[in-house]
Amino acid sequence: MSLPSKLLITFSSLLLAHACYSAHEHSLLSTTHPSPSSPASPSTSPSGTTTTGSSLPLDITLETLISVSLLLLGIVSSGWELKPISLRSYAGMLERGSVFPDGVDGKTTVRGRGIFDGLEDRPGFLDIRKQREEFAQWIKTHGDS
Amino acid sequence: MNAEERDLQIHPIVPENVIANSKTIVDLHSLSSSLLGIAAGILGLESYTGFLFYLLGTLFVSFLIITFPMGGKPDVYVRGGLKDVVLADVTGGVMGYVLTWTLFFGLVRV
Amino acid sequence: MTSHDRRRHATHRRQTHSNQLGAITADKNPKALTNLIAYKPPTHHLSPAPGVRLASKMSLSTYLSRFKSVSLTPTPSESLSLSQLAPSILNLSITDTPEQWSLYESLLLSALRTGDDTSARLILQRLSDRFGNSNARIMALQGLFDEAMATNNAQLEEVLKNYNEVLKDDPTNVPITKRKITLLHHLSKKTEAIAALTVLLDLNPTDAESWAQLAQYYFELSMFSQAIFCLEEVLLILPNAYNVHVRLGEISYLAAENSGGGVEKFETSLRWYLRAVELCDRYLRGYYGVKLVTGKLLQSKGTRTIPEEKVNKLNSVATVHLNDIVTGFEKGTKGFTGYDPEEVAAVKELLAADDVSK
Repeated sequence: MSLPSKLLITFSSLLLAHACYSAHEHSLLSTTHPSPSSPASPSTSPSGTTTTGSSLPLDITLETLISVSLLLLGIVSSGWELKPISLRSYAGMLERGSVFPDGVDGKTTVRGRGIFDGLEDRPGFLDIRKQREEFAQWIKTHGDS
Repeated sequence: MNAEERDLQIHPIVPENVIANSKTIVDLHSLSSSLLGIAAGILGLESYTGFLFYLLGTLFVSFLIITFPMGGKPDVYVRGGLKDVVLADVTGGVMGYVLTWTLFFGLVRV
Repeated sequence: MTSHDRRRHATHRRQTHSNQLGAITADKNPKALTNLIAYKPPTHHLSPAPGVRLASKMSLSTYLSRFKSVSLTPTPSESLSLSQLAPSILNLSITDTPEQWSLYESLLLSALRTGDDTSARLILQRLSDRFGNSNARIMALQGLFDEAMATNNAQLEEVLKNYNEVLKDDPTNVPITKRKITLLHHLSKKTEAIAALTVLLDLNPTDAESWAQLAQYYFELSMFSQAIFCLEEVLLILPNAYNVHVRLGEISYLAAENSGGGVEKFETSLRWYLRAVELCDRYLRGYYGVKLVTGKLLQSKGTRTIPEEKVNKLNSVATVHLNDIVTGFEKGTKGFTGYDPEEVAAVKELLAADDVSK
């Protein structure tokens, strides 16, 4: 996750929490002390809840909307990896090492690999003696040079 | 063999990637619909306004998904293109939305 | 051996280990080099020395990803660095997870490659303790170990006899059958290997690996049309295997060269290469083939079914792509670093030869 999106997520979460708290305080205020300046509320409803969201002040509404938009932006832009679905582009990316299959650490290797490499390596028909000879040869030539 | 099957033979797709991508998109949608529910609860939206808010929010999230992880090319990552990004997991998303919506509606308005 | 002895032994071993490592990084010290040639594998793994304990903090999945990031036919230096992980992997507690056993299997192969026979024996022991000696896969690994340990042909014949006995009891043991075929081929009994492989394919005609191996055996004997047939069988099982398409292109090309080069045969080769490129974007081997074959086609005189204009266009498209690959690889541009350096060198050669001829 990149640093800007982390900061964005933290900031907008705080903002959202603040908006939530403000809305809560506002509803407390309007139920216990009906604002004298608002002529539309001579009597509160019996259950004590205010009627609609229109009673919420504009600044809290804006704060909520902006914080949620920023939070969504932060989450979506925080490095979600999608892989191309067409075999052509995906296989090409694998072969030239711009993505690596699951379980392969791209930091320890740069060589690309293919989806069908098994058909060319053929582990069932591994000629171990040949590979041992090659290795012994390699050790020797490294000694000679 | 119809045209679509023929096309799949010529330009094959990687099924694992289709599944992984749609899972990512569904995850993003369900996460964001919960957050939208919080906002709707705080704003104290009721009935149709609330669902309209959800619709607009989902469209916004789809726009973000297409812009950021997809780089503006939904067809590369999803089979159905634009339609599959917007309509991924609508029912599940509504559930999460309504849950947090009612929860925060209740929390804010004591 | 007392515990004190054991610890001293382990410390000593670690020193020789670091000597070997030094020899590989700095090739100039002659004394270190003799150390390298006389590479004595560690003899005792179970003593937990402090250094080893530090290394064992790497988790199982880290080791597994290191093994996975190396292909099944690693270079000698890769094999060496992998088999040097043996002590620390063997010191991990056995958690009996599938990951651990697949790690053991890969480690066994690297240990055998690098001649670390002591580790190999220990790994095999643990694997057979867990899965039993009659497990087909373990039997194949045991066979692999026996093959590697054999010092002369008589011992190899002995191993072969063992395989035959196992197969008499259970003719459906595929891993052992594959070992037997490989051993036959190694002992230069190529026709017998091919015969055994065809029998296996009769029993098990959907095994793409066996078809590909049979194609390789035929190819080594220059029986190109048989090799092509086998690879086409692979394509029936895995129609999207672009590397098999490329291989078909390569073999068709060689067959065309060998038979005096009919235009028609080069065109067949070109078609395989083109499909490979269609299945895999910016595929070096594919574009190399397209460039090579179109070059041939433009030189040769004969009736073409593909119009010259098209061949020309394909040639220039391939040139553009290959140039991109070479410059991208040399500059280390992101997304071009995964190519095989030798293959890129071959591409440069081909492009240079093309420039000269113009």
